[in-house]
Amino acid sequence: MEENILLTEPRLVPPASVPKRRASLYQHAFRRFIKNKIALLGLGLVAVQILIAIFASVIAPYDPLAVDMKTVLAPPLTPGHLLGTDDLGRDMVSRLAYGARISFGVGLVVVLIAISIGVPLGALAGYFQRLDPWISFVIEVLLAFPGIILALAIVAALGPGLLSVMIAVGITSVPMYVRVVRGQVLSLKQRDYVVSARALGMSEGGILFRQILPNCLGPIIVQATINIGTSILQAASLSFIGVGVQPPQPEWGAMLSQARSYIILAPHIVALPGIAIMSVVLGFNLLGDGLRDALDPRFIR
Amino acid sequence: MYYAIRKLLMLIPLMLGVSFLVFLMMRVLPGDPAKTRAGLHATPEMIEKIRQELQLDKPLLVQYYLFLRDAVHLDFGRSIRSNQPVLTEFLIRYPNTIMLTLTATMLFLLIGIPLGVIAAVHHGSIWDGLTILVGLIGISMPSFWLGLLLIWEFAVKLKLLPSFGLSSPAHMILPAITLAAYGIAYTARYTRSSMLEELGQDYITATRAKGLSERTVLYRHALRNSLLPILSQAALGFGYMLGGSVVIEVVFTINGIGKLIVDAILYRDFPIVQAGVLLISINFVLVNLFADLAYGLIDPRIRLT
Repeated sequence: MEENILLTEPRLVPPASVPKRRASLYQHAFRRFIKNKIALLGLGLVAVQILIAIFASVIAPYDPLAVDMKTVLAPPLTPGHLLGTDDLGRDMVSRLAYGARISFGVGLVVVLIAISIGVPLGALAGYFQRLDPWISFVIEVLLAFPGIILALAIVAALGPGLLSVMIAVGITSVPMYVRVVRGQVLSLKQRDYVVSARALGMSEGGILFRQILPNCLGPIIVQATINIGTSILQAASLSFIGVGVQPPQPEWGAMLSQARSYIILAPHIVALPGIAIMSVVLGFNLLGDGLRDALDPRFIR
Repeated sequence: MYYAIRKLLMLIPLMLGVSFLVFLMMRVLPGDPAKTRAGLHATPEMIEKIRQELQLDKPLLVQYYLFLRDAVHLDFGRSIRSNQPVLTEFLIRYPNTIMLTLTATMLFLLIGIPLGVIAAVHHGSIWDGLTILVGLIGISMPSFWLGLLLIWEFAVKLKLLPSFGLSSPAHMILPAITLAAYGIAYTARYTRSSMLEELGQDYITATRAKGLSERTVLYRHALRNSLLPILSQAALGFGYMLGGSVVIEVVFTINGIGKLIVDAILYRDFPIVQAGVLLISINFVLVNLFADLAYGLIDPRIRLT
């Protein structure tokens, strides 16, 4: 039965309708995330690959570098070699598993390099107006090299190899963090809580690093997740064209580069490393999209 | 006009920055260029002589000035490997790379934008779902792998298309599709989300309320407004194609500047790498400049800021 508002006495909102504690942004985000089936699929893909990378030595039945000229280019489901062997008789399961380890290593180190340079630069550029033109200029210079070209130039300077690839792809990834963090800091520094922190006498550095930066964490996490995927892709490209991780290392891109000559005889050694790269990158892309939707519900996909 | 002049002036510090970075990477990091050039059995006197010839004994900034002066005169030195002028090596291969890049750019715009529009207009339909799926797979697939798969299917199994070189239009098909794949996926995703964002705006509701046909609302209003950001994405996409062509040229053995640079890295032919990286970046910066200027012409709001 409806009450006539005008006739009843004004009263307080019943306490039951107010939650005891307001759920934090991250709790809300978590709830949205676990409802998103596609994001969970991404998480699953990534989790499986991470487990493969961690337990590569348990999964691999052979040494990934062990040559066996008696079983060369064996097709998948050969007894003893579930996914067959490559042109030197090396076991594909073992090589793919150790390849996962290399790829995740690259992804992780790249993101660490890029975050540790990009986040402070972005924060300084967003917060201190006088530094902004200088930092933005450096970023614009880095972005003037299209796509993989900057990474290629850095690898050329440092010489091919795993470490060069990590540094090259890491530096190439810096601009996106600077942009994300700068934009976020620019909008956050006008907020009331920042103004009150300043009124309370907090130092500028304290405001930036203790009040503002923690609130940039969401976009940084999203960026880092997608960045792991793209850097695995870039590193594989560099290795494929021969300037990255060198054979006989079981890096997926390098494996494809070796395998391309055997495409007619043994299509599986071309198909498998590609599927591995694609599923990891797809996993991180789905996960990143899911995290963005969860952390920023206004974003339309 | 003011906008255009400012954009043009900003090009100068940008090009200085880019050239300095390239100079720094190629001259300072890879050890001693004089030793590299002199070869393995050079005596210290020979190295010293080459050092003076290359003016490596001068201070860094003087060296940079000399490098810049030569670059402005399009003198990039000689290739260590072939001893030909670097510029000649590039001019021979430039048309191949540009043809491939432009074809791929056209492909990704002509396929990517309509895909994104259809997906946004039929939001939630099966077409939308398919576009999301194709988009996700497209941005996750390594381009060189796609290239190998296409070679296997169309060149090896079906024997329909050639798989290497660029000697006829038929040779262009597989590399261009391979290069464009990422762009198609990316543009479809981008167009879809910017169309959806535009469709959620109040003015769209207003045009619908005004009684305009759904066609007019979608294509005259929503698409027109969302095409602007897509335009600058297209310029970035061209740059991405330019960079990506390096990998594609290796996959399809195309004699372009990308393959030239990769071979030069493996051969430690630094004059080639240096000039190649610089030329590709200048190309990219200029395309971005044109896109910015076009953007300013189409959208008056940009010019005023």
